[in-house]
Amino acid sequence: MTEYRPQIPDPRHPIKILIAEDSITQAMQLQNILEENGYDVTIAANGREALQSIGASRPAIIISDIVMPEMDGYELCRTIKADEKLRDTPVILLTSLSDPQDVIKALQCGTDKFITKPYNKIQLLATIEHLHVNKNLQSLEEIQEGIPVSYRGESYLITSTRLQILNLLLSTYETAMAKNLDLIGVQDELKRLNAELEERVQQRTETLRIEIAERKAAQAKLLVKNEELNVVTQQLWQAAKLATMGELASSIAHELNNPLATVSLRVESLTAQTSQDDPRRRELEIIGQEVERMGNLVSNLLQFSRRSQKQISTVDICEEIENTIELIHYHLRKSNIQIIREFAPEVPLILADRQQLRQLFLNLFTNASDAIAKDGTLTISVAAQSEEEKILIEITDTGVGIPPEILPKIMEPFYTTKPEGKGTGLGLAICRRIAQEHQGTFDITSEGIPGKGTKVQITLSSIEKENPIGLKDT
Amino acid sequence: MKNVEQKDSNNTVGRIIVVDDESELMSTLCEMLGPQGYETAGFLTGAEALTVLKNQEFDLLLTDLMMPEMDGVELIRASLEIDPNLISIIMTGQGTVQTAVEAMRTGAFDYIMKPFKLGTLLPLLSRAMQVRNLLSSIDPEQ
Ligand SMILES: Nc1ncnc2c1ncn2[C@@H]1O[C@H](COP(=O)(O)OP(=O)(O)OP(=O)(O)O)[C@@H](O)[C@H]1O
Ligand SMILES: [Mg+2]
Repeated sequence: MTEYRPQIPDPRHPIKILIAEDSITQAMQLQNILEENGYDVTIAANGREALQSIGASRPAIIISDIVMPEMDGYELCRTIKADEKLRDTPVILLTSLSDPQDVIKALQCGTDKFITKPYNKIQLLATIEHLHVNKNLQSLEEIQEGIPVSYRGESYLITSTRLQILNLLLSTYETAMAKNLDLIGVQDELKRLNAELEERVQQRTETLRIEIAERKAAQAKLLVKNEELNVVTQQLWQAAKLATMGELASSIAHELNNPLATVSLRVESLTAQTSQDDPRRRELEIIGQEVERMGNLVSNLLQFSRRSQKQISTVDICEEIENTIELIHYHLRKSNIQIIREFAPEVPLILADRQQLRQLFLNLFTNASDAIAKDGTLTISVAAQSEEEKILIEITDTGVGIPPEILPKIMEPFYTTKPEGKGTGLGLAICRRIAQEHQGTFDITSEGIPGKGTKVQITLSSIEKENPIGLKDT
Repeated sequence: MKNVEQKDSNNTVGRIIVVDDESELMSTLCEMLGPQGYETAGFLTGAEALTVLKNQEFDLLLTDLMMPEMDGVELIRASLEIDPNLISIIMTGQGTVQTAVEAMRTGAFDYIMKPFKLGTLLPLLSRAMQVRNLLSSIDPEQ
C-alpha cells in the first residue's frame, strides 16, 4: 500500500466534517483521528440530528453510520441528495459491506463512498481528501435518469451520477481487494504459524522426552540413594543402640560389681565356716553360684558393649569348636542332636580372642539346639579361604528355621522369640560383633521351613591389634 | 563413717591398708583378711588413708580404682611419696582390664577385678608381700 502523505489543511479554514454515528465511542474515535489531521468535526447521534446540524454548519463532508435509530444512514443520504442545496456535499457511509445489497442500497441513495468498518486510518484519510479535492468534478455532472438494476429478483432504480457510481464501485472493489489481500496475508500468517507450531510441538516433544528420561534417571538415582540412606540409618540406629547399651553396661557394671564383690566374699566366708555335712552348706553354695552368674552376666554385657579388653593369642579354630562342644555336649546328647564335623585338614591358626570365639560358638550352638529342640543334626564345617587368609565356618542345623519376615531383625540386640527369662536376644548381636572384630563377616540364611533349618556363615581372620596390651596367652 | 581395724599382733603376715568408698566391701575385706593373718586398716577415702600412712607403717595398699575426689591411681602416687616401698593392688569394678592395666603402669603392683573371691585375692597378696619383704631387706630403713 502506498504511503499516505496528508496535505496539511489550512488551519485558519479547517474543513468541516459531520459524523453521524449512534455509538459515542466510535464517533469519538473517528473524531480524534480527523481532528488530529486538522479537520473540524461535529458529531450527530442519528440521521435526524445530522440533518439539523447540516443546515446550520454546512459541513464539507458527511460521514455516516448506516444503522442508527430514528433515521438511518441510507435515509440521511437520500434526504441530502434530494436536497438541491445539500446535494453536492459528499456522503461517506460506514458499512461492513457484507452484503451486495448494501452496495445497491448505497447506489440508490446516492452515496459517494464506502468506508468499511473497522476502518484503516490511512485509507480513511485518503478517501476524505480525495472526495474533497474532487468535489467540484462531481457537481459538474447533472443527474441523469435513473438506471434500473435487478438483483435477486428485485429491481432497483439507481439515480446516482456516473461519477458517484464509479466511485462507489471503485471503493467496493478497493475494499474487496483489500479484504482479499488481508485474507491472503492472514492465510500466509496462518501457514507460517502452523509450521511454527509444528516445529514448536516437535521441539517441545523432544525436550519433554529428554526431561522424562532425565527425571527417570534422577528417580532411579534417588532410589539408590534412599536405599543407601536406609542402610546407613539402620547402621546408625544400631550403633546408637549399642553406644547407649555400652554406657549403660559400664555404669551397671560399676554399680553391680561392688555389691556383688561384697556378697561373693561374704558367702565364701560363710561357706568356709560351715562344715561339709551341714545342710546349709548346699544353700550357701547355690547362693555362691548365682552370685557368680550375676558377675558373668555383667561381664557379658560389658563384652558385648566392647568395654572389655581383648586377650589375643594364636588360636586353632577347630580346637576351640571342640572345646565349646564339650561345654554343651551333655545337653546335645540329651536332645538327641547329632554333631557332624566337616573340618578341612589344614586350617591355619589365627590371632584371636579365644574367650570371644568360645562365646561365638556357644551362642550359635545354643541357638541351633533351641531351634531343633529334639532329634536333629548340627553340621559344623571349617575350611580355609587361602587367598584372603580367612577361615570359613558354616554351622547348619535342621531346626525350625527363621521366617523371612523376622530374619532381618534377629541380629538386633534384645530381639528374641524365646519365652521371657530364657533368651536375652543378645546372642547374635554378640556373635556379629565378635566376627567383625576378627575382620570377618557374619551371615544367616534360612528358608523359614521347619526341618530345613538355618545356616550361619562366618568368616574369621586374625584380629586387628588396636590396643595391644601385653597380656599373656592363657 | 567408721574405719575398720583388725589386729592380730602375734601372728601378723603383713599390714594392709584397705581403701574403698563402698563401705560394705571395705569392711568385709578387713574382716576377712584379719583371720588370714593380715593386720588391716580400712578407709573410705584416699585422704584419710594418706593421713594415717604418714604416721603408721603398712606393707600393702589395697585400693579401689574409681572413687570420688581422689581415685586409686592418685592415691597410689601420693602414698609412694610417703613410702616408696609400699606395694599397691588395685581393685576395679569397671569390668575392664584396660583401666587396671593403666593403673599398674602408674605404679600399682597388680590388679583384681570385682567381684572376686578371697581365694583369688590371697595369692595376689602373698606375692605382693614377698616383693615387699624383698624390698625391705635391700632397704632396711623402711
Ligand atoms: N539357628 C536358629 N534357628 C532358628 N531361629 C534362630 C536361630 N538362631 C537365632 N534364631 C532366632 O533369632 C532370635 C535371636 O537370637 P539371639 O541368639 O540373638 O537371641 P536368643 O537366642 O533369643 O537369646 P540369647 O542368645 O540371649 O539366649 C532367636 O530368638 C530366634 O528366634
Ligand atoms: Mg541365642
